[in-house]
Amino acid sequence: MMPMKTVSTLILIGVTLQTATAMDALDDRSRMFLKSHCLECHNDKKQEGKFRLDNLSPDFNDPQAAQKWAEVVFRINAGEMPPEDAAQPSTEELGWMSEYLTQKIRDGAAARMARRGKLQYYRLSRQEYAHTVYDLLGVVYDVEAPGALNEDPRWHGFDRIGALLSTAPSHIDRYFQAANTVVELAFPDNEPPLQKNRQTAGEGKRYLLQLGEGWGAVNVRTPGRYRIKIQVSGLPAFTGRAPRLSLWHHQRKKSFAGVDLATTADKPETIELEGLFPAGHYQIRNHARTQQHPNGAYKLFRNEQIDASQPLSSYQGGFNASRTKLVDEQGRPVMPLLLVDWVEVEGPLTTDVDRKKREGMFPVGQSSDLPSDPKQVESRLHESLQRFAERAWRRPVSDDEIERYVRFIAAEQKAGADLRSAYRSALSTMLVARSFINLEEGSPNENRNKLNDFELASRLSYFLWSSMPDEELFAAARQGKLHTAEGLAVELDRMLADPKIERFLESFLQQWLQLHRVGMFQPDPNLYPEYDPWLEESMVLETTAYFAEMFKKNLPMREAVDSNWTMLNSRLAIHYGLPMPSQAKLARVELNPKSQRGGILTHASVLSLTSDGTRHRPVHRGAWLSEVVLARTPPSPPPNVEPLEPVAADQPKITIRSQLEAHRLNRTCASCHAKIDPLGLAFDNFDAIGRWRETERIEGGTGDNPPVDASGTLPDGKAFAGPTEFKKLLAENDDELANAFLEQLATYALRRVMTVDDVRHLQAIAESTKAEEYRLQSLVRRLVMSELFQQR
Amino acid sequence: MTRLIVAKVAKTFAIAPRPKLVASFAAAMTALCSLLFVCSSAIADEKTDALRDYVSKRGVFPPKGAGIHVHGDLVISDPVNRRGALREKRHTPRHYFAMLPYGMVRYHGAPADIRDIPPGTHMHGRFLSPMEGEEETIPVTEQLLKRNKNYGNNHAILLEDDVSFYSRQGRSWKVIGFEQGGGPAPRLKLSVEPVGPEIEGGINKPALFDIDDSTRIWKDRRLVHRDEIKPGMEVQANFTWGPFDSLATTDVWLDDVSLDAFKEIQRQRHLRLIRSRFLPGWVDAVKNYDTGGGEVTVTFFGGMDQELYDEIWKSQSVKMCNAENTLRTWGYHQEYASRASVLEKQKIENPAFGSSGLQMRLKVVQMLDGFRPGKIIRVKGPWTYVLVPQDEVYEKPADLERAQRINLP
Repeated sequence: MMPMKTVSTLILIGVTLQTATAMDALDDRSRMFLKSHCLECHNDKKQEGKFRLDNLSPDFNDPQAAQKWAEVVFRINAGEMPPEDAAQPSTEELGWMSEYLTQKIRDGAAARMARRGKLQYYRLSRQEYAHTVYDLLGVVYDVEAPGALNEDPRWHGFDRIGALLSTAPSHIDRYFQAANTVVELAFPDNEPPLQKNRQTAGEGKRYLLQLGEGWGAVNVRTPGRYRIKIQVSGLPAFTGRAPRLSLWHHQRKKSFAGVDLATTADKPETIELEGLFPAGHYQIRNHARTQQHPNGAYKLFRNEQIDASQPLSSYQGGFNASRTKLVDEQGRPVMPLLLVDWVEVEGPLTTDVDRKKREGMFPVGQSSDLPSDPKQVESRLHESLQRFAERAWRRPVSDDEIERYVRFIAAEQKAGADLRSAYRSALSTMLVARSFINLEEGSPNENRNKLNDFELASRLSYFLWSSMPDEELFAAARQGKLHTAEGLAVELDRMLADPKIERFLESFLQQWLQLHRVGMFQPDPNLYPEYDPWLEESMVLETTAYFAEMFKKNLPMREAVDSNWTMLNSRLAIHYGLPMPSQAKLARVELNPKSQRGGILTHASVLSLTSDGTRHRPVHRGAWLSEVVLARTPPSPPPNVEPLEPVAADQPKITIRSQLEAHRLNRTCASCHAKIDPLGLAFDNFDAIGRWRETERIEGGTGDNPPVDASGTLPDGKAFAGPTEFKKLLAENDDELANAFLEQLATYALRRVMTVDDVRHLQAIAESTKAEEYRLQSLVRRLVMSELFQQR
Repeated sequence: MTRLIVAKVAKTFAIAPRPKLVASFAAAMTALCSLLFVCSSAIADEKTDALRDYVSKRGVFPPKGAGIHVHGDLVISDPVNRRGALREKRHTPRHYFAMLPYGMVRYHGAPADIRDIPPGTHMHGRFLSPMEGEEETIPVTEQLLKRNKNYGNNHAILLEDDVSFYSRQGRSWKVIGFEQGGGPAPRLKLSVEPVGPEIEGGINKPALFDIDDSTRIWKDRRLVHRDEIKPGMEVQANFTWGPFDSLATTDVWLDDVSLDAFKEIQRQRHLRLIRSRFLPGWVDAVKNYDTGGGEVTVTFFGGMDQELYDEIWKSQSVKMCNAENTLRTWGYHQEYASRASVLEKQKIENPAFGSSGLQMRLKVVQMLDGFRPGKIIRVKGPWTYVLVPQDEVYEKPADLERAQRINLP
């Protein structure tokens, strides 16, 4: 009989061998952890909870294996495993294991998402669709209007990740509707009449708009380019708070243009707003506060025509007494006011540039325009369709592809349609073709890793312009210039200098920083009565303008997190408690070190998007900072985490930080929170809408509000006393900042998640800009010029 | 002292003073003791022109003893604008008046409004010179002033019927008996003598009042025949003009319980009125926010029932609307009121006559133009939503214009 010890040893060897085979890809430390704490109950003999771990594949690219590993992480994070009665690993060990597996899973997920076939399609986001139809045909199509295109799903803020942008039947239906509308607008049977009209407040009158109120003076019947002139006085409040004139789309409940004003009543300004406007009714609105009447009942209207000769300071008492107070006891406006004299609307304007876009694409004028020979007609149709398709599909198009559409037109005509309608139908069909609504990369019969010239042109233009290539870029592609460093550099310079670069500056920033979350949870009006739509808009404008300033001046990446300047308007100055800027509109201002501001991390936009409308969320702030700024996505919290309880009425007030510290006594929570929390707690001096504070307002509880403690220690052991020191530590570590930023930039540019395979490319790009202090525009340039950018 | 007076009145009416009744009497008396003091001391002070001709200003309550005592039948009544006219004697011109914004009306011993007073009721008033800016409200001719300069004092801080006037000062009438009068208009007379202190403007000696079958005599909350009036009783009475400028009794209250019933009915009528029209006060100070909101410090006017003050005092949120000196509000005052939350409140010790002594600092989300120092506002407590009759409020500028001056009949 074999001694028991020998049997055990053999079994152990067997288990060890099997384990070694299955978990080869894991490192020693994790294998040891699993062996010590998991395999005893999840092996070939015993599968507690019907879960076997010893033979679980460590191939994290395998969806099923990854799912099971995710289960392991979940059980660890939830504190369920190892069970209470088993030997317990240290908190540090638990945290390490969880993070290790999370990283592996994330790498696997990234690899899966990035797994590419021979042909890859990246559907245009709806914003890109709008830009593309405008650049293709000069047509304004409101993709966000109700019933227009579906909202795009986001992956960590990015709405252009190919793997997520599937095309469902509902998309096709909407694409058809959109295409028909676009083609009808581009090639109508009758050109829409030029609309030019002026509305006045009346002879000797001025239209007075109090806060949040508007004058519905603009009606856009056909979407397009319009020039809107307004003669107006914008009177700042007695405190200097300036009015914001906004062109507010009544149906969309959104501002489409605006301007900050600071004039006197007797010296009105004529402002001109020219841009692309969807159809609808617009209000000239004093946008500095919500339209909702605070009493929740009738509005106490002050939208009225007032006598232009009567000084505003005389509007006190009498019949006005029951209405909103306009001027204070010294006759100064108590709030920002607008006095509008007239509004002039002109459009839709068709510029030569827009007209040129459509040239040669619609050969069917009056029937007398067409040759009498049917073959010549067919040839002309073919030629026009080809011109249209090559631009719309952003690649050369074969005759065979066009022939299908020529036949389609003939079939339509046979069915009774006239030629113009049939031709328009053909164009509409082209705009729902796969080649239009997707960026195509690869070839069906070829396994290649590099983009061809046209694919590269599209990647470049959708990266920098969120739209199709222009004629010069197409020409460079046709000539093969984009695959030469010189040729690419020439195009890159041209594109960076083009006004369309604004689309990148706005779109990338919004997606990178997840600014779509600003205002997602509207701050409780009882707790934050100062919050208003114009503040919310100003918050985003500050960050957008800040990034644009960094880009245009090509500033180092460290200034993204720490600087002595920002972009301010009067609304933000009030919000931040800073001196009123000398001009009403958003402009760069230098900051006093005592301002507690400087760098994106102290922008109200960022500080509020991580709050929940009632209070700041330090853990959310930490997770956001980790993911967005450091490109390290923390593991998701387990479900059913007990929320922090409000402070009981009979208990002393304590900070959220103190409550979290109690929460962290739970070992399973501690491992993750130890890394995330310090990043968020560093900004505890800022409340849920980004105002500076020394004490934390606690609802309920007894005693005074407790003082804020924003000190902490980074995982590398560096201590900081508050946000200023924290920002300095981040800025000093600009290698990490630049690497993380590049990862986000490349994700946006390549429309896919970065994998471990991309790391060396990204590091090389970062390394090449290190000597230039990781300047923003340089990083963009190096990415475009890199090998990675040209890879499929 | 107040309790003593109450006890005395109760004894006079031959009923035991119930604790609750005494307490409510005491509360009412406490509220008015300053008035008593003012009026008593005014006897001496009235001789000084400074007090007599004192011109009140917005935001400032008048000093003790300001104004003069006036009495007469209410012959013109404009309840909407809180104005009217008293006529003292057959030959005297009407004494037109406007209530000051903080002017108080009392009827049947309880807070009241001019609409509660039947025309012809004999009233007592404390009349001051017009408030600054209100000089044109009651037109007065030079000729009238030459006849009697009292006509220049035409803004009332207090207006009350006889039962209110005498009872609050601890006065009653002791019945001596009935007398048949003679002369060209022989009438039955009720012979009485005053009980209690001498008071300014009052009848301080034995008197004969007309009494006939139109006089309502109240005992044990019921109408009784005048045979029930017995010599030695201490009674209260209201009057109207009688032939040869005599005073004719309209009502005689023989006991405390009957008068209390009248008082309570009037009090309830007053509560109903103010809960729909809101408590008046004026703005002491404002702090404007540059977003349209702000802070308003308000002092409530005096003369209202304590129950209303208590309700406001307990409120954490209220609504405020604008009013003019007539206390008329604008349009749909329920909707045109601005919501406010209470930031701070304080009770002022020994408040001036006209003031309740209650002050609140309120935060409003929307400042109305009328929220300015010295302007009148009305504050809604936790009361039911009621829309007031349209003719009571200002609807358009012309309404305000028309109400600038008294509309003389």
